[in-house]
Amino acid sequence: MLHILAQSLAQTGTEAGEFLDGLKAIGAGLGYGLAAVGPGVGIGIVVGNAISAMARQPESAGMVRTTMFLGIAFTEALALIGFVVFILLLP
Amino acid sequence: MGERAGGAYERAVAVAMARRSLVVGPVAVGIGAAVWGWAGVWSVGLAVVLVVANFAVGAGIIAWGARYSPTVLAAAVLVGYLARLGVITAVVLPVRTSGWFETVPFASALILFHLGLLVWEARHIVKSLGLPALRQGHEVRSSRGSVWNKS
Repeated sequence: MLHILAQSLAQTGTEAGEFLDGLKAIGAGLGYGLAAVGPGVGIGIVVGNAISAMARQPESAGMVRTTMFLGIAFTEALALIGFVVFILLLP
Repeated sequence: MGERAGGAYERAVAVAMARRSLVVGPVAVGIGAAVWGWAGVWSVGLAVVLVVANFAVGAGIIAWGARYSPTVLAAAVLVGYLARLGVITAVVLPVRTSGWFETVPFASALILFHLGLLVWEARHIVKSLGLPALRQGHEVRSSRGSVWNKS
C-alpha cells in the first residue's frame, strides 16, 4: 500500500522525491532497530545462561566465558547484517 | 583456556582472532583492490578494522565486567553491545557518502570477515574443549621435539 502511495506521490512533483527519501530513511531506521532487538534478546539469553552455569560450576568459568564470548559474537552477526541493510537502504 | 593469566579468556580469543585477521585481512583487501580498485581497498580495510576492533572492545568489556560480579558482567555486555553498535554506526555514517567508500565491498567484507573469523576461531575452540591438549598456549611436542598443535 505504501508502495502505491509512494508511486502516486512520485508522479506529483519534486516534493514527492523528498517524501520518498523520508520514507526510505524511516524504513532503514525501523529495519536497523528491529534487527538490533533480536540480538539484544539473544545476548541476554546467552549471558544469563552463562552466569547460571558459572554459579553452578565456578571451576568451569573459563570454558563458559570463552563459549559465551563466541555465542555473543555469533549473535551480533545478526545485528551487523541489520546494519548493512540499513546503510544499503539509506537514501 | 583455564590457565590463562588473570582469567582474561575473552582477550585470548580476541588476540587469536586478531592474529588470524593479519593472515586473512590482506587477502580480503587484495580482493577488494582487484574488483573495486582503491575504493575497494579503503572500504574492505575499514570493514576489517571495524570487525577486529569490535571483537577486541567486546572482549575487553567482558573481561572488565567479569572482574567485579555477574551483575556487572551482564550489564557491561548489554551496554557494551549497544555502545559498539552506536560506534560502528557513527563511524560509517559520515564516510558513507565519501568518494572512496563503496557500499558493496564494505558490506560483504563486514559480514563475511566477522563470520569467517568467528567460525575459524570456534573450530579451534571446539577442538580444544574436546581435546584439552589442543588448547592455545598448551604445547604438545612430538617425539622429535616439534610442536604439533601450534595455532
